[in-house]
Amino acid sequence: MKRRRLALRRVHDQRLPLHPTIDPPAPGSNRCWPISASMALLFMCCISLSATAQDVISSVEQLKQMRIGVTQGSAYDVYADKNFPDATVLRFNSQADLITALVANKLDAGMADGASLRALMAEQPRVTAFGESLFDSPSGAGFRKDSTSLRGQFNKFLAQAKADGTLEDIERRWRKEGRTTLPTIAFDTDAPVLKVGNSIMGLPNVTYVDNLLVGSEIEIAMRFAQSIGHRPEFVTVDWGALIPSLISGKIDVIISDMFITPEREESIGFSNPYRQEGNYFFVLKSRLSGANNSKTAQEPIGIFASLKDSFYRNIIREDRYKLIFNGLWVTVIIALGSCILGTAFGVAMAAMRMSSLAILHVPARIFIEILRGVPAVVLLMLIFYVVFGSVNVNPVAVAIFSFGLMFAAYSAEIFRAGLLSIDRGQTEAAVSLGFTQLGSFRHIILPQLIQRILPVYRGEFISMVKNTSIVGYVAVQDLTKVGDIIRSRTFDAFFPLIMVTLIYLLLIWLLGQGLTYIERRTDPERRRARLTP
Amino acid sequence: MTDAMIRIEDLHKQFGDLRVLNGVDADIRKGEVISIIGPSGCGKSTMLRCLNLLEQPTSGRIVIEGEEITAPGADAPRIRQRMNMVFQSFNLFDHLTVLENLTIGPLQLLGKSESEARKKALELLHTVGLAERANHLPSELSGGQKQRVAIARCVAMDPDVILLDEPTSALDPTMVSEVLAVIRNLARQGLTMLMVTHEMEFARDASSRIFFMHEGRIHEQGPPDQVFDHPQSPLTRAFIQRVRSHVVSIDSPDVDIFAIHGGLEGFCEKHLITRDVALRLDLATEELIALLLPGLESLKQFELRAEYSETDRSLVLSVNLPASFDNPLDGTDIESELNRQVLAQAGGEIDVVRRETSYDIQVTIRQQPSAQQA
Repeated sequence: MKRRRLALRRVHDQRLPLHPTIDPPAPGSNRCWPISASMALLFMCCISLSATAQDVISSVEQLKQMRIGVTQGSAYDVYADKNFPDATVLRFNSQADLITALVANKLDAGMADGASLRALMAEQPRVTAFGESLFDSPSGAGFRKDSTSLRGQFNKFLAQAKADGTLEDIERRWRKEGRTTLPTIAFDTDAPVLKVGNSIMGLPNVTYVDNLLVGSEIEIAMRFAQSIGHRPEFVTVDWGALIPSLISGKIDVIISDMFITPEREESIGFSNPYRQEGNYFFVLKSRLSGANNSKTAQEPIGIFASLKDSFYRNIIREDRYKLIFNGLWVTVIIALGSCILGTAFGVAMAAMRMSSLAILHVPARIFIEILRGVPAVVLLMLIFYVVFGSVNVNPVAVAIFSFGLMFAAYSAEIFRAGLLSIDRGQTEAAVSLGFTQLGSFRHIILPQLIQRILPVYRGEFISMVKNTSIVGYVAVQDLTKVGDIIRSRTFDAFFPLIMVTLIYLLLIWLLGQGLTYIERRTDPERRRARLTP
Repeated sequence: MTDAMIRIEDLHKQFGDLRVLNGVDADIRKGEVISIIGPSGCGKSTMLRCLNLLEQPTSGRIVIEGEEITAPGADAPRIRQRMNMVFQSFNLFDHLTVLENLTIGPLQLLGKSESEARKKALELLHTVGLAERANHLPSELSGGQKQRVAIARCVAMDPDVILLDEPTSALDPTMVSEVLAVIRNLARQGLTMLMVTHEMEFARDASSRIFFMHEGRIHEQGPPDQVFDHPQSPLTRAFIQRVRSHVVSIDSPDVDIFAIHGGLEGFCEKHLITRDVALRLDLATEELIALLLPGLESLKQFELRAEYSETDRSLVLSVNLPASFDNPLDGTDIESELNRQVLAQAGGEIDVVRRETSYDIQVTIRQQPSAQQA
């Protein structure tokens, strides 16, 4: 408690904005947080407590020696690497993360195209474009190199749309007038599916408005699909995962304002460009010379008003709570599905592992060692992109399968240790009473096994539930991903993170309660207390 | 012998290369109480475990009331229901209360109703004196109480036969008698019982027949009076008279004399051998080792055996040596004379027993009247 007060006073002394919703995490409470959320939170805490006065930005030349944020795998990533050798280039998974870092002064500048920047500045008034356009970039749709016919169809569609003014109309509505609604475009429900890959980039390209995927790229994709008699299905993944998803066949086409660059052309084929945009640096207004840096200018509203505002923007507006519920539901489904599948697999693996036959226990051992030795996110992507690479399979099912396997490897060892800890005499006594092997397992061994392994099993389960926060890597919108999506719209660094944190805590507490209930049921002491009046 | 309830014919059991049972033959009639005695490792427990198929016999036949249970495809679970077992380590079901330990079998296997099973269980707990512990967990009971519950659990299944595998070996001496009392009570009720035991007094007065097992066979059998008082075979006699022995094995010139002292001391304490005798046994052992150690190179190893006979309360320390080895006590020189004197001082009588290819040196240590007073 004392430490916390000191930390807060330091912030006051430095007259820096104090974010009232942040509490330093209590020691140990971190146990139940998903890793990514708690890391991000910790990161934010550090920033808010230790930010020091920053240099004033006066020129683009000066920026080229500072910290520049880019989205991993974007054209800016390549551009910054080539053209700003003196800069520190920081790579982020999404534009939302980048802007969060910029607002938190962890970064000096980001890069965006003109239309995106206009949308960003409308939502986040603390950010502004800076300097002249750095380079012009053509955007095109991406195809696998072997799907020349689809590419040809797109180019044909593009020529048509340019000729009849459809494309110009799309560009005007989304990118100049700042519209956020899609026109009605009808599809046959039994038309063949066109899988369109994109990344949540924010307005005007791709984003969620009123819980619907919208944006100029979405409309282009829909019109293209319509023109070839297909029905579009959108697969949203992280920016860096777009090209791998295309190559592995998870998607048919990338329509996500992707710049045509020589590097990308090495691995995929592009359509003719459908857009040409200037690209700019953007920075915090407060970092520019002449900006008013006083506290009141930055925090014009009080703590509660600010909380209320955040609550409204992140949860109520555009019915975002529906998005949150959907994400929560996906997380719950993956958690429970993996638990059931993993437990079943785990029992089988433990049985194989304990077999005296080498043909059974050797593969089980190797399997367990591999599954426990590979990081969860690597295994997940391996299964999604490689194992099921060319198969059309629901990403949620892949997530359940992957986490089920990993949970099986851990639970198999738990079951094995539990079984070994039960004295052989228990089985002998049961068998000599007349129980069959199966009967003695069910009536004598199983109750004791459950009672012994539950505390460890519960810990493993909680750990698995937290790990599911990485499923965003394979285009699953779970709770964590939903938090990121909301952040990409509201550019509110803290509220969505805290919200996601609290929901995870609650969820894990509830799931843990279920296991605690079983633990209580099987505890002989408590059971006796229940039996005796 | 048509009235045999259990007939065992030429039973063999092998664990890998180790032959544990070497052809056991026996007939057991209904209502008999049989104690199986014999040195450790003679196959007593294995025979018992073969009877209810906890171990699968390598060969041989076991027929129970006309049904051959060793036949392929025999319904082992049903056979075991009629032949329950009490274990050395109790093996109560740890997650169940005392009462549930007694009712789980009847409920799950005999199809009894909850109330019926409870009633019977409570009655049985009453007869073993543990009715008030019905709702306790096994972990809250003493060893003796656990074993009484285990016996009651067996009886609750209404078995034809109860097999008891060293039921008192894991108990400390204060609890042995309470368990033996319960077993004796059951024996009086006419239950057929087979018990592996080291409690000779109990075997003598509670059983109707004694099996003395040796090297995987029933070496001698008969009514307790005969086996205990007039054993036919020298092996049986040796076992009955010198049930207690302690072996010190020397196979290296680096003798751990402290471990040997400790072992002897423990042996003497266990058998309530007086301090004086224990000290002299210690002395005699040390002296014999010192005498034989120079010959270790040709002997490779030797064993000193301390045997305590309960019947005449004498303690004999002996060592068996090959005939080719010169008796270190035989010499006529001063050293041999000195050795003889030191040994005689410790013990009393020194005998040399000659056999075909070897001879024994035996030192008999008796209680001295003067020491008893001191």
